[in-house]
Amino acid sequence: MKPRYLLTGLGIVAILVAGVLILKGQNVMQAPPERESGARSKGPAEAPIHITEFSDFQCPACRVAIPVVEQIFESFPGQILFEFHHYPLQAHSNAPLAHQAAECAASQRQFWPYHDRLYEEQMRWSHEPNPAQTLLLYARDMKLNLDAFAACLTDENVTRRIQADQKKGDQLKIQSTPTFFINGKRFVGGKELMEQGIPYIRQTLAQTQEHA
Amino acid sequence: MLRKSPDLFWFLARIFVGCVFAYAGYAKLIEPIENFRGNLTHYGVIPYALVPAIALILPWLELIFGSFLILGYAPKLSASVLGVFSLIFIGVIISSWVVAGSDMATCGCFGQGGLQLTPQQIFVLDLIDLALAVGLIRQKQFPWSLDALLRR
Repeated sequence: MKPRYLLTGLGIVAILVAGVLILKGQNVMQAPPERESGARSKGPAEAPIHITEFSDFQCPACRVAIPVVEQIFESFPGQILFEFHHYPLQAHSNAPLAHQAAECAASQRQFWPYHDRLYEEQMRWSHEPNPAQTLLLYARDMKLNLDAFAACLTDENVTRRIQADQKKGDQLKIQSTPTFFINGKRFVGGKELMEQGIPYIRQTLAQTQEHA
Repeated sequence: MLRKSPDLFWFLARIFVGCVFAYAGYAKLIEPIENFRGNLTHYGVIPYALVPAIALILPWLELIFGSFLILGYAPKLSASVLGVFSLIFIGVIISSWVVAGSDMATCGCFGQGGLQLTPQQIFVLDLIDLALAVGLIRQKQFPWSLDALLRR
């Protein structure tokens, strides 16, 4: 191969690498969300570990990640503040209504039971042409006020809250669900949460104890 | 004119395949690497030990060889590499359907801001890319390319 040919190739690679690094530098991401009182959260507010999840109720990978989250709560009792943020994906046609229903359950202080029910029965409602009746059925089982719940399902203020969460996710360059932030560090998917996230929590807690 | 038509077809094929891969690589590179790592684990068939290395290297190779193909630099080598990538992607998608029963909403190939293709759509695109790459490998000459310019 002629030196001129080789040098041209190296030049192209150098331009590409420089271009990507410059564009990546300009593409500064917004910091992950701070602890928010409005978010659907569980765990002590002053917990040393703050996990934020962006999730889609219709996403199978989000359902699969739930046991990992449960394992984290069991392994680190009292150390975790967990926040849920809505991120319904465009490809999931029933997800917006399911997220709206979860918010409606939240307005009656039943977000987490409803959240769990949506994931437990994901295979059912996610394949229905119109899941509204099934979502109402879950609300009835939880003895929620059905009139308020039904009215809430079409409340545009609630829709806007969900869209605000989505916008936050977009600003954070979330590409797939579930995406977790543990004290600001990103982990995408249940497998990453298990393999990388749990050791990261262990390491962070050890550092916190050293500094205390 | 008729004699020129195959040249034009393969020129456009070169640009098409190159653009698909260069864009896929670029879109992944300007996003957090964790996004692509997560997507790789969602397929359920890639050994986890390989995921960090694949997430780190693959987008750069896609960008570099895609750009090479667009410019017509080392076109046979570039088409060969991208053809092998297409073949591997096809294998991964089929395995994820058959072995892992994966039900992903999007393939995660073009980052968050880019094209949101389903695994079915990207499967078809990979088949097209593979066919075009094989055709490009069989070409003897690459008109309107850096290769033609540099070999003068």
